[in-house]
Amino acid sequence: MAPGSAAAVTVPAPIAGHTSNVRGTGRARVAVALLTPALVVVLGLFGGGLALAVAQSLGAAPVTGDGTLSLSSYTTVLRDPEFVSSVLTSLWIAAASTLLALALGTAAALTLRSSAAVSRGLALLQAALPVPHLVGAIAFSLALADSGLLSRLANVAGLAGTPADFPALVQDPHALGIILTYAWKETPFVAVVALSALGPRIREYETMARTLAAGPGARLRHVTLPLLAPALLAAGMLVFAFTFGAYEVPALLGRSYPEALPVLAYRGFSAVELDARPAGLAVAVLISVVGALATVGYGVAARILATRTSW
Amino acid sequence: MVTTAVSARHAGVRRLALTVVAVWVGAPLLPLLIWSFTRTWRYPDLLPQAWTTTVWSDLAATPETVRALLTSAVIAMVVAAFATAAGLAAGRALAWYRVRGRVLIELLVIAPLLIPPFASAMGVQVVFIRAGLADQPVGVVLAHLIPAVPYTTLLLRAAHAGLDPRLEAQARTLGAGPISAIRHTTLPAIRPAVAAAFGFAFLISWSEYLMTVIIGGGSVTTWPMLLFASAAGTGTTAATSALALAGLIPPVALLVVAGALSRRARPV
Repeated sequence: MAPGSAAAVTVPAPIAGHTSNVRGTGRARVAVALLTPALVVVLGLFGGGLALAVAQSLGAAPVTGDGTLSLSSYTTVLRDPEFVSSVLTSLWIAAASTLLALALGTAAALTLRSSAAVSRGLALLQAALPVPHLVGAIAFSLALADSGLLSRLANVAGLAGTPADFPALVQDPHALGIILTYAWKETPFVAVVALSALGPRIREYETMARTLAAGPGARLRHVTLPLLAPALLAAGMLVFAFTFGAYEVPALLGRSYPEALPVLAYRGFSAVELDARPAGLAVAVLISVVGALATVGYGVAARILATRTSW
Repeated sequence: MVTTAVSARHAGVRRLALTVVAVWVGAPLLPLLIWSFTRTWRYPDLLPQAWTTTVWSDLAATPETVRALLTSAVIAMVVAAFATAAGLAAGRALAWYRVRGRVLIELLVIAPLLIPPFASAMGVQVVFIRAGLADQPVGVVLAHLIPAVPYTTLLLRAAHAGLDPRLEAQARTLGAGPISAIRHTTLPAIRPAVAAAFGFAFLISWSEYLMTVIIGGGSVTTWPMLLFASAAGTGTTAATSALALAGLIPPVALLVVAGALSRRARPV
């Protein structure tokens, strides 16, 4: 997850009365003009690019104008056993990374808050955000390789005599290296989101529950976590969509079979054989469908968040 | 007595919590730092047998590396400037104006954060080739805007939403022109968010790998492309580590500057 996406989850509701304040005949036109540059990028480049990807995955050739439309690249992809294993691999990577990041990030946020170390904790967590995923993947490959730093520590501790005794954590069958890299990178993100959602409003409800004689466990389960849930849901959606569709980490730390979906998509797209290209695009389109479903889910989560904050 | 014991325990918990977070963030980067100063480091030693600084001097003396870092910096600055401007305008419209189809527009803005933008880069590549934008820094800038503009728009919408637009209206009543009113009321108030948006957009472009490869082909070589190639086999572990760390310097420096600017922001 790129840094700054915390903003996507922690957008405050507009101050009441603002929108009713700004009226006038020319204002609608001004609003359209203000939105145009962003919409050119989001609708034109992104939406247009996706439409072109769909068209080419169906066999269309947008520039030359020839090519016949068919679903054949999709039937080829869906019948390919490698595609099915790739889907399972990517789902496993995204689900495990998301759950780990959510659990660890929430725990970190709650611990930092209760030990009154929010501002320094936040500063430390934010220091992790600018590290690109590619750098994270390289760092973890050095730490987790069978002659890497962890393996050497295991040797010193007498747990492994040779590199071969150390369990495979890079290019391993369970994608553990990838999941650990993502969990490392996304946990600070979740923690930052959770810390900014743990505002004074939640504190008020906790105090109220305490005066009603709720113990710490009951307060956490019935007050804090439910109030935190929408923000965590939104953050989890962003992490899931990202880890499902990102290329660099599985490309460096994944096995060659089965590959994660984005790696499979790019290999098809960039293949020398031209008929592999529509298949690669078809895989990219199928990843986008999952992302689109996450977008709808995010919209629903944001709605819940908006109704909760209007309490 | 009791309170001192409690606060001592409290301080202990705090120190422990902060240490865990610091180790979590820093420990995985430590092998990179050690490797970048390593001449020989055989298994199973915990530290290198022989140290060296030649990895770093070699890195600085390789024109290819310096050129890639410069290319990345120029592309990221242009992306950040445009994405911040577009985000300022769109954020203002979404927070302060009645916008028809607001829900749809907001979903559209969030979509590139959830749908991996490389699919659209794959789709648009043929058109870029025809238009002469492929294999050009301009085409790479356009591709990087896809993930950058949503972030700046969301950040700056939030900044505008927390600000009363009547302030600007008052400045107008006092005789300020539209631009001058924005420059003297709204912009100073949201300066931290503008700095953050610029920094994040820079970072997104700086880190982007796959879309640069798809649109830039082999012709536009950025820092992540050199790094990926080095990590995938062309470079030694020491050279890859130094290259990885070198690429952390510009975004971290920019975020420090952005943070300093934010702190200097004064409330209006």
